[in-house]
Amino acid sequence: MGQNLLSVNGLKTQFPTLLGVVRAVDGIELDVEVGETVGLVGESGSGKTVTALSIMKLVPPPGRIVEGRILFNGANILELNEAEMRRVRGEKIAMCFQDPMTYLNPVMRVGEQIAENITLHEKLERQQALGKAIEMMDLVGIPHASERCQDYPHQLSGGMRQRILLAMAISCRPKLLIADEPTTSVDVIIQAQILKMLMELKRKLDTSVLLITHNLGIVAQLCDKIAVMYAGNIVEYAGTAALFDAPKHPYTETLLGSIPRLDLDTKSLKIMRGSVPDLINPPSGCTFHPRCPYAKETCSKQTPGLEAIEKGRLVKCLLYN
Amino acid sequence: MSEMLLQIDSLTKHFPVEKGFLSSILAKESKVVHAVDEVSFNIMKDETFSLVGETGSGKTTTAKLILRLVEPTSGDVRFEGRSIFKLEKDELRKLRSNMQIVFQDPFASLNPRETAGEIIGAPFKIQGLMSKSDRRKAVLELLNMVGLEPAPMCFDKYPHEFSGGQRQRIGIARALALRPKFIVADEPVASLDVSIRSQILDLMQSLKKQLKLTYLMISHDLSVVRYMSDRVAVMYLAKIAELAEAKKIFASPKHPYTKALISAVPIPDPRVKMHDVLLKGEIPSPINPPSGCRFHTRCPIAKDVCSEREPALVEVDREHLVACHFAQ
Repeated sequence: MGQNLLSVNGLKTQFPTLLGVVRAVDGIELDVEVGETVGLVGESGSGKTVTALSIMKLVPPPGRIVEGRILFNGANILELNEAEMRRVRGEKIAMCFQDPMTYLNPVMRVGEQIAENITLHEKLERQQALGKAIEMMDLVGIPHASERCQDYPHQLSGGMRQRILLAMAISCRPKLLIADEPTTSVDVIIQAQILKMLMELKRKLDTSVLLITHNLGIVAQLCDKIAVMYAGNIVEYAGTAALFDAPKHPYTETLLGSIPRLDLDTKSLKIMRGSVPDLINPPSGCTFHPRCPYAKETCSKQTPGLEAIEKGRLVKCLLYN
Repeated sequence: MSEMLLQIDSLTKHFPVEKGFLSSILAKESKVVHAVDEVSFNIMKDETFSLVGETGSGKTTTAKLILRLVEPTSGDVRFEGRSIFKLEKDELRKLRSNMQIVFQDPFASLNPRETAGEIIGAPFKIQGLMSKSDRRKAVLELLNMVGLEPAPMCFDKYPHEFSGGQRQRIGIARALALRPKFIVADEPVASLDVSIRSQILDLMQSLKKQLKLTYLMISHDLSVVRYMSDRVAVMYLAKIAELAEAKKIFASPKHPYTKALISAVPIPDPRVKMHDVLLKGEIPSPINPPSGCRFHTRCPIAKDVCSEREPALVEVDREHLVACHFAQ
């Protein structure tokens, strides 16, 4: 039984707006054990990115974490002040975002950008930090790193830029890497290269990974455990094999059935009715009930809890409670 | 025996590269981006033909050429036997009612200041053949056809009041307005949430049967392509690498690039393990494509002849074409 590196308990993150409060993350439990790769799967509006930002304490105002604990190595990071959090962020927990062009400084050479993260956390001379940055670029598979470190972001291809973001994230050898849709903006062959590199990195640096994505193929191949998010809640949590073998939550089941397969002839696809709910006024009872093929009357009245139906399997559904 | 609807014949498009002042004086030749190079294939009536490839493969430019949204550098496209590039204004307008497009981004392709009714009614307005009340009737019928109900209410709503999937339905309704025979679907579900995609794919399939449509689908998502397509052409750096029936190309690909593409897709089943990544490096520049076979710089089975001689696209099996010196 592994030890929990990260333990999220009862996390609630909300965004006040003119129309009401958006309950982006509405009470979630999430664990990442040492050495694990946990997948956080969801679509737009599920709350997966806000979860990641909450763990990093980077929720953009006026959003804020209103409830819950985030234990990292046993200590609640929500109780740390900003100075203490800066020693955690980037060094112990690092995040790699989705769109490299948005997150890279266009007027700074890429080597310098990686070195910047290093000098924020370690007392190194500029040249030493640059040397380490080049090492990181090597690790993420950028050819001719000692020359490419002088490039500006626009001189690199999309795949290379994504690798730079990863290099920045791992530059201080974090214990936990949060990768938010790390391959959405690249083509499928580059995606395969980057995912392979990510898994090798994980082994080399002994890093745990929280992989956030909507791509079920990626989580099937890379993750040990998967948490499925819907409208701010985790609706199912299970080991990867168990989840794909027999999904329990109707959302998971419909989702898995709605994607065509490349390796098989798909006769027909399951259709998910309706659309993502309003997070200001979510449906009563179970947030998924308006779209659920198995919904009963109680589903609109009673909110199910995320409960264990077997060891290591949690489902948030009245069919099982 | 199905008839041919479209013939694409040695279609080529080179885009000029803008040069700085000094380079225009000093450089001897103008450089061009090879977007599409001598691409030939046919699209049969009632089929779904897909063009797949990564960024820079030329699939989107090919689609734009077929719709004459871009003028070719050379080559021809014949719709029902007639060259589309030789048509005059009036004839072109008539042709356009037969060839329509559904765009990728349901946000960007709809005018935010027009209601769904106005957006879908625009083709009728442009063709100038109907009265306002007839237009309204036709638009309501289209809204129902694409599942946007209640139609009268949706008629007056603006794009931002719809979800992504619903906006894509508006785009589809607009494309269907003039009852085209041929629709280009450019990454029709790529911008949509995963769970919504099956709704739109299903809609496209049923509309195809109902209205006897022929589709040209552009996509980078091989799983969607396998599900929707009758035939598939794989493009790499402006050329077709392989062309075959969907079932055959995915079950037994012959071109090393197609094999690499297929093996790179992570399967949503943990029991089906991903193969090792076969390709190194990235796609070369379309301004200076590699000599001989453009794929040779990354090909795991490349030999000397591959950098010297460009392979022709030839039939190696029934209705299965490959451009490779060593296709198996």
